Amino acid sequence: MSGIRISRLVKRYGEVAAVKEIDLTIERGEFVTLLGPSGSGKTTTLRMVAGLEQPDGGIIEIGGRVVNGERINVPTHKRNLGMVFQSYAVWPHKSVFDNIAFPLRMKRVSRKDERERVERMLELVELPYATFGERYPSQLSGGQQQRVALARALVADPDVILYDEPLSNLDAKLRDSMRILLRRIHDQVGVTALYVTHDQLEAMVLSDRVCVMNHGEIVQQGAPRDLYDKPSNLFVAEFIGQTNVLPAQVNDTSGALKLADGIAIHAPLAAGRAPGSEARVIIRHHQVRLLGSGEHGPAENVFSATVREAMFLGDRMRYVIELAPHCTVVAEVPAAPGLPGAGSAVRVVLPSESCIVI
Amino acid sequence: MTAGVLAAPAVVRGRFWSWGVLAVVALLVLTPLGALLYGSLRTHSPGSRRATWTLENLQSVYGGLFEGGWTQSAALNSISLAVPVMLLACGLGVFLAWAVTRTDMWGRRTFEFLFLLPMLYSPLVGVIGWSVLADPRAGLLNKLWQAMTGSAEPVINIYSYGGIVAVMVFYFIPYAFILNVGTLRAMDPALEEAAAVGGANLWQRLVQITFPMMLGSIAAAGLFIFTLALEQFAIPGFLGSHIRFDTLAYAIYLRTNGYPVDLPGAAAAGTLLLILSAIGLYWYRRLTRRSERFVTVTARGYKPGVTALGALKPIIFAVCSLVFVIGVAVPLAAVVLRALLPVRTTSLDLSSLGLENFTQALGAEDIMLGLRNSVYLAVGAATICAALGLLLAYRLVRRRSAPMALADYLIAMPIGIPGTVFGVGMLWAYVGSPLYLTIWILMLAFVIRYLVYGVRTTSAGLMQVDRTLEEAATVSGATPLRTFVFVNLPLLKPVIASTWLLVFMIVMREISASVILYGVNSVTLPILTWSYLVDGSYGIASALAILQLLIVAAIVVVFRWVFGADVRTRSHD
Repeated sequence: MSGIRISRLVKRYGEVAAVKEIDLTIERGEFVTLLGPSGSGKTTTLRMVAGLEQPDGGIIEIGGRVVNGERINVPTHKRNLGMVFQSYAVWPHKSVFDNIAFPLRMKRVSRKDERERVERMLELVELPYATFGERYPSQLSGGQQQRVALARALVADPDVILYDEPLSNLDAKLRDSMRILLRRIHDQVGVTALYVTHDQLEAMVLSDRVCVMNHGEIVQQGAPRDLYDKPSNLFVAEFIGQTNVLPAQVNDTSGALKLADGIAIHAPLAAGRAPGSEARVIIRHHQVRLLGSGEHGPAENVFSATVREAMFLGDRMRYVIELAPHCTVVAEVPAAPGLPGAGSAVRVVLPSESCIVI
Repeated sequence: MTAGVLAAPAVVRGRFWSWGVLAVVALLVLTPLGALLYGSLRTHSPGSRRATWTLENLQSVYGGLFEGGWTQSAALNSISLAVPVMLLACGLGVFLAWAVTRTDMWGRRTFEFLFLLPMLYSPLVGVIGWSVLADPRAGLLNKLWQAMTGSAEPVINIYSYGGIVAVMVFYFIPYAFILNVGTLRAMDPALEEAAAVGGANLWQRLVQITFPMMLGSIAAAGLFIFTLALEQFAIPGFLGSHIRFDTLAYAIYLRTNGYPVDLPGAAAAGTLLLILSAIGLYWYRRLTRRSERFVTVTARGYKPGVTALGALKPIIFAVCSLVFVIGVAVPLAAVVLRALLPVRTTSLDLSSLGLENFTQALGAEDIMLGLRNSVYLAVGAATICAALGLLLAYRLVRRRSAPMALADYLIAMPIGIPGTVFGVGMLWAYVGSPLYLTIWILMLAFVIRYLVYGVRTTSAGLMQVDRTLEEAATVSGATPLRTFVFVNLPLLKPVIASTWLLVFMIVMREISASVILYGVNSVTLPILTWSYLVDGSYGIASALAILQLLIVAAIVVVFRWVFGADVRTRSHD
């Protein structure tokens, strides 16, 4: 088991740079996710670590060994990896047992050990050998095939396990249970993991650290909580969670800003913001509060407004609220009796501690 | 209520059609087979007053198998050709398909085109080309060798077992190639990548992952080539006649065209050849029983993973080039050269190059007749197969019923019957009818044999047309006919065009069945090529082979240009 170190990694497709000088270090046993929209370069980065794509520049080290570097290109089969693919890639002509045993056979593990290790893996992914061992992939569901792929990726004690959007072919319910299984297996086995997804929820649940990618660059990285609470740029704020983005102008350095239609708002302001400069105030939908009649709000950021739309989402209500003709926010509050309907006059709070100025 | 009243007649009409189609198909397909069996039980040729029932023909064919009868050596020769030809052509074809689709070899697109060239010409090109080059006495290569070394011995003798196998292998490689290129393209590259991640090197990936998963299409190609090699009579027929190496297909031909004519014997031997190809079919079915374990070609496309060959690249490039040069370029060049030399010459005098063969050929009445017949037959059969194929495929895919499923099965049968045998069956079936010895019996034979291409390619195309596209038209108020004309036809245009092209190409070079069924007024271009070749008129035969190639190539170019259709659609199922 070992970490990964990537420095100044570049991949170009013709004129287009798919990955632009990425630096990334993954500690031993860490679970790191590359999160981003399609075309952000996340899958290309993963495939370069696997040796399935050749970088146009930069260095990749796995466990201290340079696998890509100047005139060095260790082929995939000599990198000691495990990988789980989006399409499962379970071989249709091999039984479940033979699929999982394949990496062991490549390592010339003895037949006795082989059987023991395959059975242990099957247990780990909750496919008992007695029932599933001799089945063929065509007799398995998609979720079961993905478990076989997972067992195959882990069986030969790889240095690193790579996940290429492994859950995106599964239906929503199955995805939930597979997410839990993946995290539990990581906690048990503890092998270094690099995971690629476009699903922010998956990234949040699974990872120790998330790297958000856009246009071939890592735009922000950190623990899931930090990314959610402290997005450092608009892209991360909009990509993770549901967010109001309100154009604003800085009034003074104490944190007074002006929204559209001259609405005054207070928000924590980083040092160095000049008065008069353009900014954006960001606040999550669920952090916008509605005040009940007679309820006292905080001293600042309380606004009288009108409900334009009210949508019932089951466990919560979503409101589109108009503070002024050019200034609307979306709020989500837990569903409860007595909530206002469309057209009602309300008072809303945009708590200043929940506001982020970018 | 109204719906029920209106629906009932439609359903009844549908059933009537399905059963009607089944009856016609069964009649057309089973008649030649029944006639073959009938013929094998008769004492004399059809029409003879002395003809009566007998088991003697079958006895001599099957009994002779073990007692040194005429069928023993012929059957052994057929098998000893078909098996190695199948293995070698398949092996090379799969290798070339892999090199072209899955590696970073140089010039892959060009090679893909070059390897398919033999589909455009007749098997006689290889025969003529190699006879011109490697006839032990007059072959140009041998003469060159003898002049250079002063040796009296030929360096290559194409009139040999090895020579026959080689010419056949190179002719059949494109079939194995085309059938496996599609499968390789349809294979999820992640399946190979998973093996690489699991620690398998290139060789281990190929042997343990790629090829086993392709077993389905490799076996299909193998069966197809086995059947084609069994029925192929022109290559072993001509090359083998110099060393008395007769195959079953050639022996059957001799019994219909030689003296004395022995049609009952031909029919009886035909049943034996039929059984041999049925054995091939049986093995194919056994091998591919678990089809879900192989890659099947689906609508889903992948960007094929490209394997970096590294140091192997020049070697694999050299092998591909060599296959093209020996298999296609050299014999084709020899045929072109021979066509441009004077009509009767055995020397290579480059100053005498000219168009004498062509002018003489195009001035001959029989050749003009053959040319016209071939074009009529190819255009007619292609049009009928494409049109009937479209109608049948529509019923099969959209209105599936038990009789249609059975009709589908029957339509696929004749392609598994060796052409020579099918020809003998057609002969026995229609010998007394006005069709006999006209081009209409040939037309009927081609339609029955190749309708399967029309049905299969169009069904495959139709299955990829989402049903909701039709439903959207119906909901918008279009009648079923308008839906078919305005939705299905435009979407299927490329498929219909490639079906037409495929049947046209095959009929333009068909010889195995035509050689049994032709008459003085129904000669075709391949038959004439064969006759001139047998008579020793290499020059005219070469010119005719080139003419055939030019016609087909012109049509292919026009089709690519007009429809974007090409020959790379699946040619066999």
